[in-house]
Amino acid sequence: MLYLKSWHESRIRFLLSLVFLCGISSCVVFYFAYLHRYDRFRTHPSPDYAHYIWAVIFKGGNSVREMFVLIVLFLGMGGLLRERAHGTAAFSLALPISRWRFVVARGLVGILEVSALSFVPAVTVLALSPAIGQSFPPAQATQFAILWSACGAAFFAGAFLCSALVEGEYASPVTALSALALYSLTLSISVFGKYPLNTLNIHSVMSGEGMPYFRPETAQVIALPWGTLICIFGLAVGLLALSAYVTQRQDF
Amino acid sequence: MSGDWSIETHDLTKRFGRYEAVRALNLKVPSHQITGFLGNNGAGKSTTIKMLLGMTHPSSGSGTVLGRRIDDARENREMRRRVAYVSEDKQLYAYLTVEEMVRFTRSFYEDWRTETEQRLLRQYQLPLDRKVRSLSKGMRTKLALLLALARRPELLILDEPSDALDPASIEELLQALVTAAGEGTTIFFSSHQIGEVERIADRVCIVNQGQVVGDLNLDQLRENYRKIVASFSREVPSDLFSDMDLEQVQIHGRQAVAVTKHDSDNVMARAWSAGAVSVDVEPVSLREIFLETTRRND
Repeated sequence: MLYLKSWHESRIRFLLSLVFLCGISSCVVFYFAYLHRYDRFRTHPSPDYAHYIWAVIFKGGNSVREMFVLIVLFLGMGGLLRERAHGTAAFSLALPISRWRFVVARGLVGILEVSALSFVPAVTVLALSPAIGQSFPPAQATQFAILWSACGAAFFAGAFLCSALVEGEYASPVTALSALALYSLTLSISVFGKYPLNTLNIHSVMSGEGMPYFRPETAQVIALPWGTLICIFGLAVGLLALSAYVTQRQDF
Repeated sequence: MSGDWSIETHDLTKRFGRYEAVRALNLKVPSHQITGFLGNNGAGKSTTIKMLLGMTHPSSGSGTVLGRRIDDARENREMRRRVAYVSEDKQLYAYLTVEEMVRFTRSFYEDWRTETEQRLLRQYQLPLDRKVRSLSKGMRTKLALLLALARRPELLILDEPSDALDPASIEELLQALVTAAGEGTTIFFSSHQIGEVERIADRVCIVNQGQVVGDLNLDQLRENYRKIVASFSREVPSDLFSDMDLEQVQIHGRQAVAVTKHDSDNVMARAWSAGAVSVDVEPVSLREIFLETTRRND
């Protein structure tokens, strides 16, 4: 029932995010057809479809990937401190359930939602590409979705921790956004731009840019970096555990 | 359960920075009775209740509820299986319907009584398909009461239950509490509405500035406490009751008012012997005791 409660709490945000990601990914696909038909590409020769999709959806720099990260921060809002702002924390805490279980339920449901959203652009591209006479390799789409799942879980857990630390409907997402901006700014220092230090940059892990597992000439992921992904997922679990620890010690 | 007491605290203290919301609170709530927890706004009632339920961690001191330590997370969780709580603002999950809210709560209690749930649903006329967010505060209170009472809890704790309710809803609420007490549930409720407490409580704990300053059995209050009003034809002698152990003494010009617990005959005799022209004995109300007790401790 706690899982159902967590789903109820976040389902509107999740469904809006799903519709948004689906819509924006569809626009990206059909915009390629428009650019191709009227030869409106800014670069010559015009990029192939795989490069175009990677650059606009998976890469970064005004891409769908950045919107996905913002959506994940938005989904990360939750937890007992947020319930206190809504006045329902007293009811929840009077139930014969430990605070850990509340955090675990919200964390798991959130990570599942993030995973589902990770697949939305990939599935949309796969489904709509034939409609414009193009094709995108399913294996590539799946690999990017898996990269987004693991990395999205870490961003989600970070936002969830902010939500456990900072009370307020707007204060916690603003804190999460500020933390993300600080993190991104720090990693823009040139020393973090090259392998292996760039594996600390979760944005790069998601896009594959500058990574040994990504081949820029074909815009393809050669093999998934399972070790890195397990570490990032471990970071997400650690951040959720920290949220639980913080929640355990709080007064409501 | 720990003997005759459902709730016991020993020097329970809660500090928020330098502010002490609850100061060395020693509270005893007897089982199978209705106990009112009376105090002005900010007296520490809600903080005390939150500490009892493990929502807020005590800064020092200890306490037990149904024999379980409140500062031990596991014991507190066990205790909450047997305790129902209705919070001050009665906020429930706005995004659920009444039916979903009932189903959600039911899933955590093995001793849920479906027949009580159905009876209360009918009695309170709660619309099953309505979202909680669209319920009035009165309806929300009824739903919160249903969720609390459908489990036959050993102890029901309510924080300002009648707050912002209309008179008809207050009446229904008080009736529900009396019925629950009749079925053996211990009731502990905080309030600053003296009239309500006086109407249904067997016992009253008065809290002021985070401390228990009065613990009264209301039957004893009605039977033993008396107010003696003595009128004089001249100025009241300043030492009139000075050597007597009285609950309250007020002297205004030619009139002296004394509140005594067991000693009304002696107080009257003293007044007559000092030259009083009339001496009247009146029952004492909880309001008078409360105001005097909190004034004395301010």
